[in-house]
Amino acid sequence: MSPSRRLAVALLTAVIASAIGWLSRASYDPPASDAALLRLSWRFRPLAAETCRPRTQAELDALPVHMRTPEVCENEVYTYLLVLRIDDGAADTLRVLPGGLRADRPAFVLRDTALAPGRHRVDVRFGREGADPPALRLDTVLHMTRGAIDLITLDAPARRLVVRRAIPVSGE
Amino acid sequence: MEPRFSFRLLARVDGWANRVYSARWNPLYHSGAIAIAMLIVLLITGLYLLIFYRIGAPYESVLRINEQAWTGRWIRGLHRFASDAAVIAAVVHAFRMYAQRRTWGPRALAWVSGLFLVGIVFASGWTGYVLVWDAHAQLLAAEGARFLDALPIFSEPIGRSFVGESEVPSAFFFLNLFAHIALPIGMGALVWVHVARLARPVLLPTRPVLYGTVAVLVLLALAWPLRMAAPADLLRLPQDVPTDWFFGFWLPLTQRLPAWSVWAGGLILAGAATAIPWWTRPRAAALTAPAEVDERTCTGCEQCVLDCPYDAIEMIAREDRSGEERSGKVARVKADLCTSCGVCIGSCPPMAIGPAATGRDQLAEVRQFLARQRPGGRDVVIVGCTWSAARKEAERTGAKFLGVQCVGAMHTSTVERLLRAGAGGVLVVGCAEHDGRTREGVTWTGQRLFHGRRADLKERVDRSRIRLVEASLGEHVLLHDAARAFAAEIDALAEVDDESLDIVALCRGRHDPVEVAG
Repeated sequence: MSPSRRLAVALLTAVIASAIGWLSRASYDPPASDAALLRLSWRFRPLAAETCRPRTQAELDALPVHMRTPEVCENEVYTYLLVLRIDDGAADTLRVLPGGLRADRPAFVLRDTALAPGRHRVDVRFGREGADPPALRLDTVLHMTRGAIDLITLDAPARRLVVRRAIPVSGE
Repeated sequence: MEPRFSFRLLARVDGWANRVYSARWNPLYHSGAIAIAMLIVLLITGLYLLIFYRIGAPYESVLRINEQAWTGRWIRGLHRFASDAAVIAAVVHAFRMYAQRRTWGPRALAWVSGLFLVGIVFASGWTGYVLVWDAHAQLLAAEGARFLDALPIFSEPIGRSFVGESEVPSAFFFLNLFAHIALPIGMGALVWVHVARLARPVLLPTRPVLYGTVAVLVLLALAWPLRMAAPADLLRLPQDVPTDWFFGFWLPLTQRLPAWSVWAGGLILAGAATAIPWWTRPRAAALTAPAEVDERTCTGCEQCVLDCPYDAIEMIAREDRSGEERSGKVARVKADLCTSCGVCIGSCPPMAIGPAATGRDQLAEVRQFLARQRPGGRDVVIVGCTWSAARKEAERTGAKFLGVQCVGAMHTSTVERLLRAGAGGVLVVGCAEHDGRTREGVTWTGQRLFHGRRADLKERVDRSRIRLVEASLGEHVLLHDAARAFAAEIDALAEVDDESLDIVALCRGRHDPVEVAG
């Protein structure tokens, strides 16, 4: 192999290797990463009203022997309402239903709202549909910073909504 | 017929790479084998990383690995770069197969299993990046969860695991680690399926290419070590994340689209890629039938079985042994495995096998060619497939050109017949050794012409008048130089021939034209 060809091999190989090295670590800025994010997230088991009545003889006779339970029960699962108002904007209402096809799984709230960094008044109300006043309420002013997520979640033992945020880094 | 754009593009890039690395060491020709070699590198380096990884402290354990200046740092880098190289090699390999239409018929199994392999490489890479649990991992985990949550199968979104309400449990990292190890193990079985229909599958590149590739990646890992990104913080949006674009190239697009449209787009793409074997299958009119055997002529020598690149020929007991003495066995083509590549034509001394045509048909074509062209003692006849650089060289120089389906399918009697008819020389032009569309076809042809492999060129034929050049479509410069040098040699031989004829004529005392027997 001639020296010039060796040089060409070395150069091309170096270019390819550098491209691999660069492409395997080049930075990427995800969309809206410079916004501030308000996140509402919690999970809870919704209340349900169980209504039971004894089976009639005709119902019992129609069932196989091993399924003849003396009572038949029906669950009515309550729905919940989340109302979110930010600054002087309109109230944003969300109906929260239990999870699962048979509505027998826990319900959850998960809502992300991108905001401009700065002060924002946030008013969150959450409770059973039709209940007044709502069971949970948080009315607070948040100092939201670029790239940070302010998480409003449920402190289950204390039965109240709380705000969690990232530990500030220098400059925030 | 003009070659397709994809084929011309591939040939051009191959030609550029050959000018630097030479056809023998061109890594593009070894893309499939390099992908497998990289998987082996990943397994070895992954075993080392596994020793130090802790699912209870993912980021911290990777940070400790990265602080091992003598081992962990470059081994982690090599693990990363080998995975990138595997992706590149797999994409190049798939494009080569597509451009050369090596996708349909019996090769559809290799194509479809190859797509699954690529999918597993990406899934395995995804789980690997999440294991580090840095900002990049957070981004991938959240994006992956977003896709999964679009499926109506979870009563509670997977994405809630990454909202910051609580720490991500160790079980998540255990699951990822399990998948990261199990998926590559499953790939081993899929690689076996991938090459199941190949005779003598090439699972590793040649040593110079293998050692060279690994050495370059080790040097890269040493010279440009990976740095740790910031640890994942679920209460912070990932910003300026160092991303491996070989695995995360889709992020800028998918992050701006709803999850359902990403699923829809992904399924359409996957469906289209899977359908390529059926799209690329030639129409019935253009389809060459599988090879057939003329049992009366077959001598049972088994050379076609040895040479077939797709294990599509077997020897069976001969049913009709009446009449003359015949071997007990006869070749039979398994039509469902035959790709009609024609390599068996060149392997058969009695010219008893071939798809649509046999060696006898080739000789008939040569006779027609000779009747038209009448090559003289100073003429070099170029023999090559119509898609190789041969045709272009012949058009440029005005040389006589005999087109064949594939040089690997050429019977050596073709060359002998051309020389016997008075051609000064025969320049056989095939694809590069590792690029043959008939896999080993060119290698076998070289051995048949010069090294006695059956069906070998007869000893009486002057080898100095034959040259085999490996020059794919993109290598007309190489071919032109080789053709010019060979033509000069033939000219020199013709001078000697002319002088010999003069001496013979003088001895006979006359200058009448002398008829030279072939």
